[in-house]
Amino acid sequence: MTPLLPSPPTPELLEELVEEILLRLPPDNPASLFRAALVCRLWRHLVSGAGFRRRFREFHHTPPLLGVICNEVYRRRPFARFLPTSSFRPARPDKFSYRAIDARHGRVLLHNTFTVYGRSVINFSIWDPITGDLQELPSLLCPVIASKKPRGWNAAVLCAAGHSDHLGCSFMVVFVGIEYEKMFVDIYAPAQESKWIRVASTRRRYRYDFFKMAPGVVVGNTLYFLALGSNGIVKVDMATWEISVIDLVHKFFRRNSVLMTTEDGRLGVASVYECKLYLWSMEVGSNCRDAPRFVVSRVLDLEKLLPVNTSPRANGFADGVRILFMRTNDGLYCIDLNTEQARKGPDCNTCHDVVPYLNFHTPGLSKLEVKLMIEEGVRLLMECAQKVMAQQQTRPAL
Amino acid sequence: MASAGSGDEKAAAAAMITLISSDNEKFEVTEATATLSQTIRHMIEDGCTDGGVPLPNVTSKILARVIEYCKKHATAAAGEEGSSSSFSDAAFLEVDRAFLEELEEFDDAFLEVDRATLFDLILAANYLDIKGLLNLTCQKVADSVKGKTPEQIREMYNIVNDLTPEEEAEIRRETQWAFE
Repeated sequence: MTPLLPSPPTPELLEELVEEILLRLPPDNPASLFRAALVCRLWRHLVSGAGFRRRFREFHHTPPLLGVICNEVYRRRPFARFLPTSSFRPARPDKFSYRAIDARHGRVLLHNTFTVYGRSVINFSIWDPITGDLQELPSLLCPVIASKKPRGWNAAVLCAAGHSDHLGCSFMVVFVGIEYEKMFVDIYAPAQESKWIRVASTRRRYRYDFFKMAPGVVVGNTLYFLALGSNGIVKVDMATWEISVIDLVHKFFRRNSVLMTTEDGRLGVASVYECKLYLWSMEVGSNCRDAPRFVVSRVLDLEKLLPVNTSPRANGFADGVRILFMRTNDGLYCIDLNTEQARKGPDCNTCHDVVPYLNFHTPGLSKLEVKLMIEEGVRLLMECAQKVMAQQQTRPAL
Repeated sequence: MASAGSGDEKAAAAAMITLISSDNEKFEVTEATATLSQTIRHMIEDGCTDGGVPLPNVTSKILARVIEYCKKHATAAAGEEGSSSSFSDAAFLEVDRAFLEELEEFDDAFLEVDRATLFDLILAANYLDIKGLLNLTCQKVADSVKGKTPEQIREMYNIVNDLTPEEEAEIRRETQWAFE
């Protein structure tokens, strides 16, 4: 009679199936992946690998909202603060004397500005809240009065290569400025040439123009910024580096509007008027020379979504997850445009403008593991070298 | 054993496939049900299903559950194709939504199994390459893991902690926020 083997209480899962399970952990709660990494060596090994990181991004496709960067003021000095909306907490959430202006593909574009002899010096930095890295870019000198409001410029951080997963991609910063007579575009791409290059310049049509303090929106290969003085949208074609202005004639396009993208991937505007949120989408006529029109695609009753009498204003949009941020007298609120549900956002004191931060955050190798790997590599090299030396010694002299 | 409801029962009845479990039990299913499994679909395409399809990695108990899932989801797929002409758009959407709700209820009830069965279902779904079932079962395990501490996960799934205390401390120190 063959003895019965004691059966384990639960069957063991094959390694590839553990990966299938861990791929399905929620990306908007990165802590769950980090806790899984602490279960055992196999799980740790699985979730820290580059293959898993890639598959996790492919599986979930849209990066989750990890937090917002809020521009606050402390003792009359600006600082950018990371306010989490997920379980992720950056090691150093505050960037003193900086303001956040844009974030894309896990990078935050920060700036500080000062004036020298009537000219503005703008210092940009790229901040990665996950690794904590801060990379300073060369200063940009321009004759616009950049340090004061209203602001005569806006900028965006983009992927320079245009791939889909943006894992380790190189970045590019696009700067749009308005001078006395003209509007211009400068770009900075460290992968190509480490200096600012003027790529476009055009005569401006309006005497008085300034930008809405909100990140631009990218649709296809075109970057859009909301301008308030002329009540228009500044359009930068990144394939041809042409710059133009789309006029907004509608009275709703006022200060409490932000640019957004529509469900079907077109340019849109979210604007608040008499406690209603109007979502507009841009329609381009069949003749490409026709001026684009904006039509209302949806109206949301803010009295049903937000606390009453709080004077809500749209002040940010998270592309991909389709979350609209509203500033109210009761603090920051987030409206999910897919579900039309609102929830209270993170607490902030002087939250005039917010920059949403979306990114995947999966565990990497810890410092200890990297150290062990290097030690192991050195040991193997030494062994190899010793073998080669031993062989040379035993070889008979010619 | 042909699934009722669809209009072309004759065609479905004509194409029956026999699946044979590891303990030699035979199951007769329609081709529409069987081809939810990519593995079986390829076997049908290659014409090697005469005399039944032996599935040495799947027990009769698990195979019966897998077939139950496939039958339900195969009728869902057939319903989507067939009904578009017989309903107006609004009526079709209504029926569609009711059906999707029913399917969701079915999936929820289907997952009410013990852990060992759930793991066996994952293995079977992987082996038979049934995307929907693999997704459903893996998501169930992922949902049970997501809110738990490493200790709780180890206890739930009988996993031995083979990390050294040093390694563990290092990971905890680097990502303190994940363990608060």
